[in-house]
Amino acid sequence: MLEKRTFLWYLLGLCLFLSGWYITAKIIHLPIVPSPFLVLENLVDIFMKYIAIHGFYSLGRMIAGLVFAIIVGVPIGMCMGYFPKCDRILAPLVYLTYPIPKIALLPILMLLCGLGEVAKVLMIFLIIVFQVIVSVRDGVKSIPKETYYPLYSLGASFWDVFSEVLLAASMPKFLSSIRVAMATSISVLFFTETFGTQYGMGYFIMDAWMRVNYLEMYSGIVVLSIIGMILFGVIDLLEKKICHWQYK
Amino acid sequence: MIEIKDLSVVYQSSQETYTALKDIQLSIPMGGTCAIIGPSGSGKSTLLKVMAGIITKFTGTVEIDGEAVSPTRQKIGFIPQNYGLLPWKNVYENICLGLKIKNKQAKIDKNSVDFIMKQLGIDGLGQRYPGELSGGQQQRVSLARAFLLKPDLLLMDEPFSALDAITREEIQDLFLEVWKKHAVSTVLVTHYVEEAVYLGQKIVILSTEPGKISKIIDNSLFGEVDIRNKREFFELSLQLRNFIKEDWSNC
Repeated sequence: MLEKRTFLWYLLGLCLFLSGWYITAKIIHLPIVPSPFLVLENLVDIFMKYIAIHGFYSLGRMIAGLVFAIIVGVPIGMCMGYFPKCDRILAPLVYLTYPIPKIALLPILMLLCGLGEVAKVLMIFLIIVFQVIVSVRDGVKSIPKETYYPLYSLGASFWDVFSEVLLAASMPKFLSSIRVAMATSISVLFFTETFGTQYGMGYFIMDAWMRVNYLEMYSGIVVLSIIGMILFGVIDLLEKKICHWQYK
Repeated sequence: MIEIKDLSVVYQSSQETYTALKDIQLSIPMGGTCAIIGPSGSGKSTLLKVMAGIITKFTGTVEIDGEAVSPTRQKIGFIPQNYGLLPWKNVYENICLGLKIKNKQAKIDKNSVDFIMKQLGIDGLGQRYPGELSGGQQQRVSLARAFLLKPDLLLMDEPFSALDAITREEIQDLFLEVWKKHAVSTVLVTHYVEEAVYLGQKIVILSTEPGKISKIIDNSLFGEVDIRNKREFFELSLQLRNFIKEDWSNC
């Protein structure tokens, strides 16, 4: 029931978006803004032939960077939140490096790691990991001390505290940090894919642009936003499954 | 027997040292209850945390049945002021959490959980989450968790203070009823004189700066039927209150 209603809202959003686009196209009436229906038609034609492979590359890089950021960021954030000493040592380091515009590091990453996959995945990792660290830390810090006492008085190990309290308590903030970081990382992914690769949505879109094939370019943009929507949808779904207790 | 001898706790911060508890001597018989009453800053909660093995930096000895207090060796139930329920676990899981941590792999007998839930009047709430419960129901869940453990020592930090007056009396009665069946040694901290007189076999009055015991009373009224409506109850409460007023204003 609820799933069905969510789907309908998504559909409504899509309709609004398409009609806005359609009206703009009609008003401007130039090949640089084609009608959405022409774009969709073109997309259906070429998706399996040309775009799918690029989409998979982009999605793959996103997920690799994301997984890597979670593996590194969650333990660091947990330690910083739980052990004040850890926070005292690491917080200045995090605060110093967090505001650096990661995109500025791209040339250095490409020099160090080559033009291949590593630099691209590392870039996404760098964007997401700081958000994860800070939000997981804050999530753990916001747990009232009293919550731990009944566990301590039973001789709970760190593992008990971790699995029963820390993990669940930091989950809502963790998921929203991923959500925030995701949008930035998709745009940065686009940028990195314009260098040193023949695959990825960034490459596809820029290539279509160079060939002045606007229909293909817009098809690529649509696929990129669909990738974003899938990722956001998965996060929403995860939150509903894991964090439903929040809404009680 | 819970035996506390020469207990002192000193908090050390970078600027100053603060004596939270000084020379505490206290013994509580097994299966008895003890109510600790004191103004804020008298180290009530500190005393409780020492007995729970949460604070380990102290001088003196704290022993349960002749053994130094240790969360890993003894079973110590602790109910904090906010009940300590985990909002992401449902009532059933919250009740089982104590046993799960204490007995590691041991399977939890569903019947005994159901039995204790029934005793505390929360049967049927197993699938609910703490956020969906009233304060009184949450308190019942935390009591169920504590009694299911069959602890060597049960510690409660102002357990009923967040409840409204009627619910508080209800839960106090319920607590006594279940406590009689399980006979768990219990120490509770409170700032209500009546609560101390109603629930404490022994009543300990703490005074502040530094926290030390100013009086221990063996409460002969404890456990009598319908005691709340008796004249002796009011008299003892009044007596205590007057003592406290004088004692605390001297600090």
